[in-house]
Amino acid sequence: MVEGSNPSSPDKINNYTINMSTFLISSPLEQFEIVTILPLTLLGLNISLTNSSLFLGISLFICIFWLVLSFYKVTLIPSNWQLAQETFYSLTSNIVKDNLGFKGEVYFPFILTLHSLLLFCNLVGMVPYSFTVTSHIIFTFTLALSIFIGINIIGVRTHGFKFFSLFLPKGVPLIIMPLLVTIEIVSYIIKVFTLSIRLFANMTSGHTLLKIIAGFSWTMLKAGGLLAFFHIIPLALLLILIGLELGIAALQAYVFTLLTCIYLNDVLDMH
Amino acid sequence: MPQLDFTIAFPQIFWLFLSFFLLYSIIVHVFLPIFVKSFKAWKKLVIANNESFNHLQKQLHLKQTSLITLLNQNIIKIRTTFEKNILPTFTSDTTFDFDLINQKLAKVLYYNTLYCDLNVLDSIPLKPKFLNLRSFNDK
Repeated sequence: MVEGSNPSSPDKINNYTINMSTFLISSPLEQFEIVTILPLTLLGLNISLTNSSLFLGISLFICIFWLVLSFYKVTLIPSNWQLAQETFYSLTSNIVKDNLGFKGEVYFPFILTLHSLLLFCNLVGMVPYSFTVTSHIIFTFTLALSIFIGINIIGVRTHGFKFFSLFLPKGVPLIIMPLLVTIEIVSYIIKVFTLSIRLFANMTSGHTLLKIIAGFSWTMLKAGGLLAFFHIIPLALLLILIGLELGIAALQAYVFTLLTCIYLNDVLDMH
Repeated sequence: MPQLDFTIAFPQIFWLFLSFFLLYSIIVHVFLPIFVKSFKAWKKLVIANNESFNHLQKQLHLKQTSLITLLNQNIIKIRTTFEKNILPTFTSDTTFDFDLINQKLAKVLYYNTLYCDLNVLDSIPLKPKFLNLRSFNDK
C-alpha cells in the first residue's frame, strides 16, 4: 500500500480536521473575496460581472431609486423622503460652498455623484451577506487616482505653468529649496494614497471586526452550557459595533468628498 | 488578503467608471433640474410670504393710524359739544342740584376704595360652579 493512502492515517485526519474547521469557522477576510458571476470579455479585456460589480450595480440602483422616490411627488411641503434628500443635497452643497465658494459650482454635480455613490456603496455593504465595494483598494485607489488626475488637469488649465508654484511656498531660502520642493511633491502625491487607503482600511477593518465578533458569539453559542448563555455579551457588542460601523460608513463617504473638495480648492486657490 | 489580488483589478475599474458615469449623467440630466426647481419654488414661496406679510403690516398700520385720527377727532367733537352746549347749561341754571351728583360720586368712590382692598377681596370665598361637583351631581 502506498504511504499516506490509508484513510485513517494521522495526516489525513489532521487535514480533515483543518478542512472542517475552515468550513465551520471561515476566515474573516473571506467576505472580501471576489467571485466571478458572469465571465465577460470586451476586445480581449476581462470585464466579467463579479460580486463586486453586482453590488456596485445594486448600490447604484438603490441610489437612483431613492432619488426617484424622494421626488416622486414634489410638493412645497416636502415629504419625509424629499426632506431627507434635500438635507443630503444641502449637506453636499455646503461642502462645496464652504471649501470652493461660488467658483466650485461647476464641480457640484461631480461632488454630489461621488458623495451619493460612496454613501450607498458603504451602506449597502452593511447589509449582512452583502459585499462592500469600497473595501477593495483597487476601487478606492482608482477613484482617488482619477480625481487626482482630474484635479491636476484643472490646476494646469486654470493657472498654466504657474501651477507648479504649488510646490514652492513664498519666501523660502534658496538653500533649502530642493529639500522643500521634494517634500511638497511627496506630500502632494501621497494624498492619492491617503485618500484611498483611509476609505479602504476603515471599511475592511470594520467589517473584519464585525465578522470576528459574530464568529466569537457563534462559537460560544455552539459550545453549550454557560458559555452559550453568555454569548449574548459579544452579541450586544456586535449590535453596538454595527451602529458604529453605520456611522463610519456615512462619515467616510463624507470625509472622502470633503477631502476631494479641499484638494480641488488647493489647486484653484493657489498661494 | 483578497484585496491584494490584482488579477481582478480590471473588471472593478471598468464597472466603477461605467457606474460612476451612469450615475453622473442621470443626476445631471434628470435630478439636478428637479432639485433646482424645488429649491427655487421654496425661495419664491418665502419671497411671496414676506411680501404678503409686509402688505398686511402696511394695511394694519394704515388702519391703526386712521382709527387714532378718528378717535382724536371724535374726542375733540365731544369736548367741543361739552364746552359749548352742556357746561353753559350747568353754570347758567342755578336750580341744578350739584349736591346730588356730589353724593353719588362720593358713594362710588367709597365703595371703590372699600372693595379694591386686596385683603377684603382675598377674604371673599369664590366657588366656581364647575368645581362644585357634588351639588352639581346631586341635582
